[in-house]
Amino acid sequence: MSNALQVQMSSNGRRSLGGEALVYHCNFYNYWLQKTILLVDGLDMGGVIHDAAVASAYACLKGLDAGHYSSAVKLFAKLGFGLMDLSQIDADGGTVTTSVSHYGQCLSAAAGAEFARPQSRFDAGFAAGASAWGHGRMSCGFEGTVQACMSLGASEGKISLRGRKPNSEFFRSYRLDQNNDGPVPPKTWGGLDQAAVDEAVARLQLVGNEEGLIPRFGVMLTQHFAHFYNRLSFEFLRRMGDSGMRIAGEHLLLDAGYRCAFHTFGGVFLSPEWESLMSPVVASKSDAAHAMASIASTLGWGRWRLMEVNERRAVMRVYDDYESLGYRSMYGQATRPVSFLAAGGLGGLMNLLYLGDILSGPELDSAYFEKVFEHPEAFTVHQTQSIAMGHGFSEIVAER
Amino acid sequence: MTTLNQLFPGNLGRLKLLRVMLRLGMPELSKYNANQPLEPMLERRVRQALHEVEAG
Repeated sequence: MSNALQVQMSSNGRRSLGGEALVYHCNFYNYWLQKTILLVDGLDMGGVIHDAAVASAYACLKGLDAGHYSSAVKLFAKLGFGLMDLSQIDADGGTVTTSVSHYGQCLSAAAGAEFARPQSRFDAGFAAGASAWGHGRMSCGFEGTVQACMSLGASEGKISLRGRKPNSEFFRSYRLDQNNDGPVPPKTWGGLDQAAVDEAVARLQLVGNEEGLIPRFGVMLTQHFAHFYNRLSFEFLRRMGDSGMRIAGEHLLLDAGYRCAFHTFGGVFLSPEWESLMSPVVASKSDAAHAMASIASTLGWGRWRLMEVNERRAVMRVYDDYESLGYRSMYGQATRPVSFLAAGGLGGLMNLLYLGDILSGPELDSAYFEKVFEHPEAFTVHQTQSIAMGHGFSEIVAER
Repeated sequence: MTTLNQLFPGNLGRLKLLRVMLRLGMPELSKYNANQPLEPMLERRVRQALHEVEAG
């Protein structure tokens, strides 16, 4: 079974399992993305979270052809979502419990406040998709409802599942071809080859521990479904339509990426792994920026290449950008760039290095975050090219 | 009487204002004069939405 759940990584940096594209993201991104898309009433984004999780889990398990119901539980743990018990589910539904849950327990570190609503909609969707797959139903065959969530103080998560009618319009995940038909990313840094960085990160074994969690670099990681993230972000924007709030929504999606970069990149910069792998080849802040771009390139986000980087400006190209590829697969050619995670990520990286002096080893706390974020010369970013719009790569410029 | 600039200072405040705008479904908030005192009714709504977006 463990071999069946072995994540594949292609030479162009795509991660996949059962044909589903995977990307690493932390509890900060998971919190801020979810918080953002749930701000607007009337869009049923809670339903989108649930159904995107259903479609992703179902497609992954079907693609794995693992054959046994228990593989769903192992998948949940391996990807860092926690520990789930599906044993009480039969063909009519039943109750699922989670004794450990990334969404139920790990988002509070990012929120910094008490929750008013359950955070574990993803768990409910995963349980529904896994159960539909396990009982031979269509992907939409079950609907999960969160009955108890650890984010609200429950001792364990409880999700009730019941059958629902087939729906031909139900979300479908897309499958990313492992072949790369885009331009080859150029070599822009002489420090370490991308292949060496890929291997070094692979050796870290960033998979769920005995609790089904991935605590690394001061954050809680998940190895998550790219379809899930893309569906949440782009369905959110689509459903806002001509409300006049799309640009604000885009800013907030970018902010989720910024916070992700700030905490995850910040944690990596301060880690012993950075010290042993990168410190010997990093002689300047621009070196550090290139080095972090090569690490980001192993996370399933696409290959990040800094074409220019200095204390005032950076130009980054993203080859195989998972956001753009996901958008194009689901919604066709875009009229605006959609690489919000990458754009926020570049802003976070530049602010950490050039304003926060991260290489000097500061404490990564809220006071430091605020100091960097409120800096009068903080970097701003804009997207200049986009694979989603038909360009060969996505390009982001950060300036101050 | 309070202004938007007083309620939402700095870069972090600007982001909170975007969240409040979405929460209230009021894109026109972005066009308000940020230094002009808010009408009492609007100020109450904005404060309530701010309370909601500051919760987890």
